[in-house]
This record gives sequence, C-alpha cells and structure tokens, in this order.
Amino acid sequence: MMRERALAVSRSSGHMTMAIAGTIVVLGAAAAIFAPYLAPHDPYEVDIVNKLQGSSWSYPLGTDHLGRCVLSRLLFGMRVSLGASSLCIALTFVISLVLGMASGYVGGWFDQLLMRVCDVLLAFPKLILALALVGTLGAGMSNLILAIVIVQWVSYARIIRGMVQSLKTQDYILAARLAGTSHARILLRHIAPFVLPQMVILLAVDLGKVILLISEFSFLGLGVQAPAAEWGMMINDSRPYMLDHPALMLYPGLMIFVTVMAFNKLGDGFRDQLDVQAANKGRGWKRNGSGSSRFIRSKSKHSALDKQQM
Amino acid sequence: MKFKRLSMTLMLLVAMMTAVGCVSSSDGQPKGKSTESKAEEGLLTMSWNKDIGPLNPHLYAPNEWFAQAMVYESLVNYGENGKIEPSLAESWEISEDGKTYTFHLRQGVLFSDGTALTANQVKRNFDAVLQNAKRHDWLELIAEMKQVEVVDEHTIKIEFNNPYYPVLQELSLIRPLRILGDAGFPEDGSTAEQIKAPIGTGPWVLKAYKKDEYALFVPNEHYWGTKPKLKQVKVKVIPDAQARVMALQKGDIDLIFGSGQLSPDSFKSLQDSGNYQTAISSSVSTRVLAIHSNKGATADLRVRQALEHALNKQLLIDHVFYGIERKADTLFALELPYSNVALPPYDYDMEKAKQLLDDAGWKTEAGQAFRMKDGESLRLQLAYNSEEHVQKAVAEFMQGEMRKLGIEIELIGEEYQTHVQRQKEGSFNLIFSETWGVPYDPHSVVASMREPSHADYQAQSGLAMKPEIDQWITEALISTSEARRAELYKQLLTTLHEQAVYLPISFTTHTAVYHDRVSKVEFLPMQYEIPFHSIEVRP
Repeated sequence: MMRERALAVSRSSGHMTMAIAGTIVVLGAAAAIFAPYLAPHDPYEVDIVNKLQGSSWSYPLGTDHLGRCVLSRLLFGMRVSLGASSLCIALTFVISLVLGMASGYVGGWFDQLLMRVCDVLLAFPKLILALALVGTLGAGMSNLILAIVIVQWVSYARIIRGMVQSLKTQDYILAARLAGTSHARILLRHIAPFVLPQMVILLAVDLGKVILLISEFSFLGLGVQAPAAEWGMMINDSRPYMLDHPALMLYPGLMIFVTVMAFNKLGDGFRDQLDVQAANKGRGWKRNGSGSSRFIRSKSKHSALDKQQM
Repeated sequence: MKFKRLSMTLMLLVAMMTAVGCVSSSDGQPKGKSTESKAEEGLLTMSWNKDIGPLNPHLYAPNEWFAQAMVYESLVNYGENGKIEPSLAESWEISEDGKTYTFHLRQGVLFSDGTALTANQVKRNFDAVLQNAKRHDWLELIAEMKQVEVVDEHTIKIEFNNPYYPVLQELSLIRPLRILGDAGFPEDGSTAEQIKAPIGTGPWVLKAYKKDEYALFVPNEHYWGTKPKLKQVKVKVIPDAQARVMALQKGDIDLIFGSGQLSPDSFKSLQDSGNYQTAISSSVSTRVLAIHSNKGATADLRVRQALEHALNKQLLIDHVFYGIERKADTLFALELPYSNVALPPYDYDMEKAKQLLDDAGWKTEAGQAFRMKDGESLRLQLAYNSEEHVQKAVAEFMQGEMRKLGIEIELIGEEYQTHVQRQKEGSFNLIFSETWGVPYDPHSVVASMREPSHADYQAQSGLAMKPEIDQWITEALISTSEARRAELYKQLLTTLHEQAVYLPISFTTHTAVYHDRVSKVEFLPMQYEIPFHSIEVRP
C-alpha cells in the first residue's frame, strides 16, 4: 500500500515537472517562431552611444557592449538554439535510423564493417572529436551541425541495430518471412513501427544536450559567427564586462539553463512513462516493447554526450 | 591551429579558476603583514598575459619583449624623441660613405656572471644572428650587414652593403641584436634554437622561474648603469584579462602595464573607482584596417574611399576606446620621422560615401538589403584577431554602420596564428593590422611593405603603381641625402593615402593601473619596455 502511494505521489510530481517543462518548451518554441514580432528592437542594430544601458521601458533587459537590445538578442538566440539543435537531431535521426536498421537487418559483412566504423568513432571522446572536426572544417554553424551529426549518429545506430536484431528473430517476423513478405515491407511495416517511438524519445532526451553543445562551441567562437545572436556567444561577448555588468552574462546563461533543463526533464519524463508502461504490461511487454526501454536505460548510461565526456 | 585557440581558451579558464583560487588562499593571511613584507623586500608584482619565454636575445616569440629588455642590452639606446644614446657602445663613428660603423665599447662592463664584455663577444653575438639570417629577413639591417670585424678589445667595426640610414635605430631594437654572455652560448655556438643560460649585461637577472606561472627578477649586482630602486620584480602569468583585474583588486599584483593588457572598459572602470593610480602613454603605434586593392569590390578605388568616409571614428574613440586611444587619420603619427606630410583626412561623410558607391556602380535596388552590381551584392570580408576583444567590438560596430550604407560585412574572427596567416595570404577585403611602433615606425614598416608575406604588400598588390612604390621605399632606405629621403617618404605616404589602402582608426597607447604604494611609473620611448628602473614601491 505504502509503496503504491509513494509511487503515485512520485508519478504525479513527475507529471507536474513534465507539465512545467512542456510549457517552457512550448513557450520557447513560440518565442523562437514569433521572435521578429516579439522582439522590441532589431537584434543587430548597433547603437554604440547607448551601450551597456540598464533595464528601461524601451530596453527591458538593457543593451550590450554595442548598444544592441539584449532581450531581442535572447529571443533571436532562441531561434538559433532550437533551430540548429532540431536540425542536428533530425539529421542524426535519419542517418542512424537508415544505417542502424540496415546493419541490424542485413547483418554479415555489412554489419561488421559498420560496427567497426562505430567502434573507431566511439573510441574518441565525443567532444574532442567534434572539436577536431570543426577545427578541420572551419568555424561556422553548418560545419558545427555537421560535426555534431557525425559524432552523434554512432550511438543511436548501435541502439537501433540492437533493437532490430532482437526483433528480427521474433516469431511474427519469421512468420512474415515465411509468408513471402519482402524485406522492405518487413522493415517498414513490421520493424520500423517499434523502433520509431523509442528513437523519438531518445532524441528528445538528447535535444537539451545538443543545445548545450551548440552554445559551448559558440562560446569558443567555433559556432555561429558575429553578429548572429546566440546565447553561448553572448556569454563570451560579455566576459570583458563581467565585473561591471554581470547581468549581461547572467541572462543568456539563465536561458541556456532553463531551456536545457526543460528538455532534459521532458525527456526523462517520457522515458519514465515508457518504463511504467512496460512494467504494467508485465510479461507481455517482451513482444510489444521488445526490450526497448532496457536499451534506452542502458543508452542513457553511456549517452553520446554524457557529462563525463564533456 | 584552431586547437591552439581552444587549448588557449581552456587554459584561460583553468588559469582563471587558479587565479581565483590563489586570490582566496592568499586572502587567508593577515593582509597588513603581507603588504609590509612586500615593501621590505622592495618587491613589485606585475601581471603579464603570457609566459616570459626562454629569454633568448636573438629570437622572437615566445620570448617576451619586456623580459628580454630587462636582461640584455644593445650597443645603443633609443631615447626621447628618437635620439640615439650610448649604451654598451660609448661612442661611434660613421664613415663618409655611410657604409662603415665603428663602435667603441664601454670599458668595465660586466655580464651578470662577472665576465667582462669584449669586442669578441659582441662579434660572436652578431655572427650568431647573421648565421640565422633567414629568420631575420624582415629586418633590413641584417640583410644590409656585410661583416663584423674586431679592431681591438673594445672596438668593433661593422660594414654594410649600402648606406642604410636607420642602422642605429635598428641596433637599438630589443631583438635580435642584443648581447648574450659567453656562458649563455650552447656548445655549437648557435643561438638559433636555444641558449644555455640567460646571461646579459642588463640591470636585471632572472632568479627564479616557473613556466606559465611566474618569473622573479633581481637586480644585476654587476650592472654598470644606475641601479634600480626595486629589490625584486615578480611577473605573474595571468592569461585572462578579467582575472588580471581581479588580482589587482585583491592586492595580489601591484601593477598592470602595457598595451592590450586591459580592455578599455576595464581601464575605465578601475579609473572611475578612484582606488588606483592610472596613466595613459602617448601614441605608441597606429591601429589600421588594411584594405585589399586586388580582391573583389575593394579593387575599386571608389569603394575603398567610400569605406574611408563611412567610418565614424569619433564615435569609436568616444564610446569604445573612451579616449584612451586617439583618433588617427594617417598611417603614421605626424610626429614620427618623415611622417609629417600634409594629407587631407577622409572625413566622416555618409553622403559622400553613398555617392562614391553609386559612381562605382554599386546601386541600391528595391527588395535587396545590400547594394548590387551586375547581379552581385556588395559583400566584404573583414578579418579580426578573435583574442582581441577591442578588434571584435570595432569590427561589429563597422558591420552595423556599413549595413546602413548597403554594404554587407562578413566577419571572420580567428585566433592569432590563423589571423597572421590570413594577413600573409591576402585572403581578406579588410583586415586589422597595427604598425610596429617606435623605433620601427616608419622605416621598418615601409621596408616590410616590399615583402609579399605581409598584409601591407597584399593590400597594395592591386595598385598600378606598386612597382614604383617598392622602388621609392628601397631608394629612401639607402639614400644618403636627407632631402631626397624626405621627398620619397612624402611621395610614398601621399600615394598610399590617396589610394586608400589603409583605413587608420586610432593611435594605440599603453596604459598602467597600479596601487598607491607604487610610484614613478613612466612610459618609455621604446614600445615594449617597462620602466622597472624608475619604479619605486613604498610600505
């Protein structure tokens, strides 16, 4: 009884967290989309006479070292962070899905080759590898996205491969094979529907980390280039004014903190729900979920962008 | 190279944390006591952004100028208003044809290890530098030097290929022609790679050193000149500008000195606090944008002139530099030798800039954010050194201003090495550059304009009269007639100004911020030298 109640409480507080996180994400996305209408000023308009001003009615969060409106830049920064990280995640998703499914389903030398490539890529710390790639390709947003995708797809592809491999031996797949269903149809109709939802959640969990990564690179000057408004770069830009105008650094820092936290909480919530669902289904989950939540948990343990590697 | 920049940034972060850590740990001691003991020892603690390097007098980076100048001396000194003063050489004679210089060395000069300075030792130093001549090809003096001869124990004769006029100025340089003691030479006699020990005749001796942490200098007891009042100078390596400011505020360091050691904003904030002594030197060098005359839209003179008219320098001086740097309208400050040429400045005039762009065929079109010509939009690349915050601020300001004019400026921020590489390759429309300051300005700078591996050469490469420009420079450097030289300089500076290949922004300065216990902080005529000989500290 006690345990059940405790579980219920934790679940409802979990729902609460998810609701808050979800609201933040939705608000953030709306702010990003409507930034041009919401921003009180042109985020690129330099007005050096009005630099480093405090809060006022026309500049709610003051101005930066070039007299640009901080609030407007934060709003436009939301576009960069959400846009670029979504693009990263989408590309990663497509690449890892195609390669992972092919590798798991075809097996043989193709699987071996792909997994050895994965081994090589996984042998390097992700952040260092991404840095090296951006260093070689040159600083810039498109190169940064490319580098993140290159280091990211590996671990997802592995997870998908594992899922496909275990699904492949399920009776219903074997039955389909016997019935003469084509490989393409099996992959699309019988395997993909089980893989996709898990992947979406996995990627949602990592979205926050990608946002953080993009900000990190921009802080180092390897991501977006001036004058684009981006949180990481705004922090770096305000470093020389840290002592006299700490707020300049605080605002973008808070934005990163809140956004990343919201995405992480949302992702965690989704994952927990999946666990609960799987547990409720009892023995039956094996056929349905095909052990995917176990994969997800093991995945998050050595996640692509885990803290230890940062 | 990007890696270097990254590791720099990481190091910076680490250093920042360490600095903060150090500050709090030293805070634990009773403050009054630590200040007292400092004063007793006559200790001055200064911050510097880099390690002082291996103190090789014959090489460049990573050796730091000021540290080389503390330990080593040259034959002559560069004094006030460019007057050449005796140093290790007490007197000298120049032959009629201007090709032979005879130096009489000061008697009784001892190296810090107690050995005497002789003509042989001077020759050995010069020969070591000449052996490595390729490394010094930027310096015309080395190329002109034919041979060095010992006349007697205290007399040395140097012969030159041509009557090169700035010989004495360039002999006064901090590097590469300062004198290393016998014990400092490696076995093979070559200093091109390393030295054995930093033994010089200068007023200071390196006593303790920990790479990337600190260097401790004490006075050279054998020094021939006036001994410094300080008993010790400690140079703390603090790479991050903010960490330097915090160290000063905590009393960890006494002095921040130099160019680029403090951002204009930090300087102003420290000055406004009223808790420190501050000083600003007279102009040191010129901060300019080199405009490429052979690349894209800037190949057109009218576009270059439009850029000159479109930059509101006064706004920059008032709001970015806070008057710490003065406005510049010419490549060289007028008070420099041969540089006082009357040139009409390009005034800030947006209308004129628009007119020039229209004339050049770059027209504003409906529906286009930027000016267009033959279906192409007006887009220029502006490269800056991302380690210099001021450059970035100026670049972003310029980007905003040019947008109003219909010019799209693409900013390229790179770390120092990549930035320098870009200067050499000439892959830019506009790039930040700086003249070298006295005693290099103007002769060494104009000499280097002939070298393809310099931004100046690249920027000028599209000028129809570039071959003549190079000829004028060569002739000016070896002309024996003062009037002819002045005329050639005038011709050169006028042409460069009219062709608008440089956009002068400001004259850089040195700044100093120090605690009340420090006094007599002066600025020396030679850029990069720090006045440790005059500074005093009191309890």
